[in-house]
Amino acid sequence: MNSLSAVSAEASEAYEASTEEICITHKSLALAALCQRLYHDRKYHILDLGPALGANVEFFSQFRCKLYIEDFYKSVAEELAAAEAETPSPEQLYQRLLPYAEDIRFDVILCWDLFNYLPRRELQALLKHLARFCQRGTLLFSLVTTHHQIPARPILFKILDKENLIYETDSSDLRSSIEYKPRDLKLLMQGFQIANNFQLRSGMQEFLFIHV
Amino acid sequence: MMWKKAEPDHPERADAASSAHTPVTTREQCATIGSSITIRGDLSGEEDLLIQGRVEGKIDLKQHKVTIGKDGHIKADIYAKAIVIEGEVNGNLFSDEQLIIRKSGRVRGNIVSPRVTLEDGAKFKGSIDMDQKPAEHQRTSNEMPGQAKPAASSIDQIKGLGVRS
Repeated sequence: MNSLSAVSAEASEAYEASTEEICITHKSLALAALCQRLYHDRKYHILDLGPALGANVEFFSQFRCKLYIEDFYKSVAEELAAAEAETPSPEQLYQRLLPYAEDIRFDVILCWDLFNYLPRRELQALLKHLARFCQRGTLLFSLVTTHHQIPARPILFKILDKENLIYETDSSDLRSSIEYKPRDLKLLMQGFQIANNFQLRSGMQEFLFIHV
Repeated sequence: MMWKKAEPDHPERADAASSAHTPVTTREQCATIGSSITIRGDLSGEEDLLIQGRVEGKIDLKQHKVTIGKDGHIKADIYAKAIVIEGEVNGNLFSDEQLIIRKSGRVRGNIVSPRVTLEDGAKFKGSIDMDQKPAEHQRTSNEMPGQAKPAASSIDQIKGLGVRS
């Protein structure tokens, strides 16, 4: 068993189960910054590494875009749960889960709060894999917590409008966060620079990275 | 094969591979493929269709609405004016007007439709293209989820290039 198990091999049913949920509106300055960079008259290729949510599909429908959706965390959990003998390496797993053609180039990648759940080795592997599908100017949106404890599973963020997200959080089921610092991310995000970085009072840091 | 509403005494067989007689019935002006039916092959027609059974192949009702019911299991590309998914689909979906994935729906494939609605709880993996061009239908139909090949875009077309840290 390699360290991928830290991502969580829990069953997918558990991923959806939550009991004590609180609905929170989150003003997202990074989302606003992202939207400011999008025109309505050109076509974008957007990779969403969160689950397929109607609100988000509807939001991006205002732009001319092709939206690729891969519920990354859930898929990893399912793959690990299904792995019988040997757990695949992160590189093998990510190649299988995100098998895009070599010539595809995304304009936007939505990572949401996925970084909080990926240990350094896995995050490095993911970023290395994604870098193959980035071009100069690819934007990567990420939310990184400064809290020691985080919900056991990634949060489902729904886009209300260009600067507001809404999400439900389950305070009854927590785990330790990876607690990446900005300097850690600078080292990990090879090929990217921080375009925007916002520290919110909620303890969330918002990052908009740009591939250079 | 062409797929038509059956005459009462001569129910049309959808395909030789059907698991039984293919009882094609009308319900609310919509032909229905029942949950015990399995069809392997191409399916086309000139009326709305509700599928509660299994279809493997291609479904082509470009002028009509196709509904995949909760018991429906599809391994096929679907071409229709409007598509509603309540069951399970593994294939690419092409709608000229609207596509809806209900909360019970599970789809793995690429979608090309000007309007797409996902209800909360719906499961989807693949790509959604709401800006289709006529020529893209054929190209996308040959791609599997996650393997679509968009035209490369240029940094020069992205607004606000100034990088600050």
